[in-house]
Amino acid sequence: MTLAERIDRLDAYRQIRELAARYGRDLDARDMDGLLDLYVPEVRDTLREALVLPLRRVHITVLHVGTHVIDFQDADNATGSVYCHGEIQNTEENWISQAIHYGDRYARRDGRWYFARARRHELFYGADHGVAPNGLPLADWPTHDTGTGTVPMRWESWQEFWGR
Amino acid sequence: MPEQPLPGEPPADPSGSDGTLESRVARLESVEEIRQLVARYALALDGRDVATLVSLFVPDVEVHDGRTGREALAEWFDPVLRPYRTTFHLLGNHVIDFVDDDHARGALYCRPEHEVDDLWIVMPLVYDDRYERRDGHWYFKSRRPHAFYAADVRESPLEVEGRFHFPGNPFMTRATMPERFPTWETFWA
Repeated sequence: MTLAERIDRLDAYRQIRELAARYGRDLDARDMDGLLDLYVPEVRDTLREALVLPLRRVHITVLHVGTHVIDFQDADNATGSVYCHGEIQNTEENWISQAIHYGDRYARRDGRWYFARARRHELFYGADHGVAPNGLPLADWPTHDTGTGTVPMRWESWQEFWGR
Repeated sequence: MPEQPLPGEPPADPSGSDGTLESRVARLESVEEIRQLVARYALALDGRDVATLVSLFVPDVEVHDGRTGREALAEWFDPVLRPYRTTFHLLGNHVIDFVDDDHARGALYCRPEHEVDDLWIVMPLVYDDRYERRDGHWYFKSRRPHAFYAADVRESPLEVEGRFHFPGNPFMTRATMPERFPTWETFWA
């Protein structure tokens, strides 16, 4: 890679990392315009409703973004895995904890990186505050905010490890 | 692997060996690759992807049982990863100090959760990492986790003996942080 291409890639890492952070902040702030602005323009209209709906039944949210793996397919396309620990007030009384995995696609348009499609949101678990998540019924998110999620059990490497 | 102190002194080599644009860009690339390295470790561990996990270490990695190499490391990992089911390694603060262009040390905070039978163990820790660049790519030279505590989500860390409640863990057996920071002891002395 040329020096310019290498700096480009470094900028891509920075922007993609920021996408995950901005998503957390904008969602916690209920800044729906800011949130939609993180996505490529062509998916925004269809996404607005899908983003708003799960937010109608929750109140305060605190999205703490952590672990972030980024894989580049080429100079303009990348995929990612993002962990997030969410604290969510889902009714007046319930304060819940969620361990979330986002499966992402990112795309660059005119020098700016965006989410290329809706984020694939999966739970490790969701549980009421002070409740251990062990053995909870399936959450089937977004049907329920609490319960056992789909990862890591869905991952092939997980099944392979426990099968041997 | 010898027990080594956590990074404390200032970085020996803060910005690239010769200060040229090339070496400054290379340093930024190294930082990114090391950040990816630690994230990939977390994902591979939670996915029980042992092949990926061991590929993140230098080929001649020294295993905790005294053996050498990735194959030996994979054999060591297997029983260490079985006493718990679901795990969730949420990474946070990451300090990276370069010793030179090919060697760096890291202090990485992590707040892993573990499903251990009917317990849900939270074990905030700091990884004491050594990173090394081989053939243009960064790998773990060594990695040692040091726990602040281990306790079930329903327990106060102060309620459990030695701030450590993690039954059946063959690798992590006690809480050593923050006492392990040399400055902690100095401060209270």
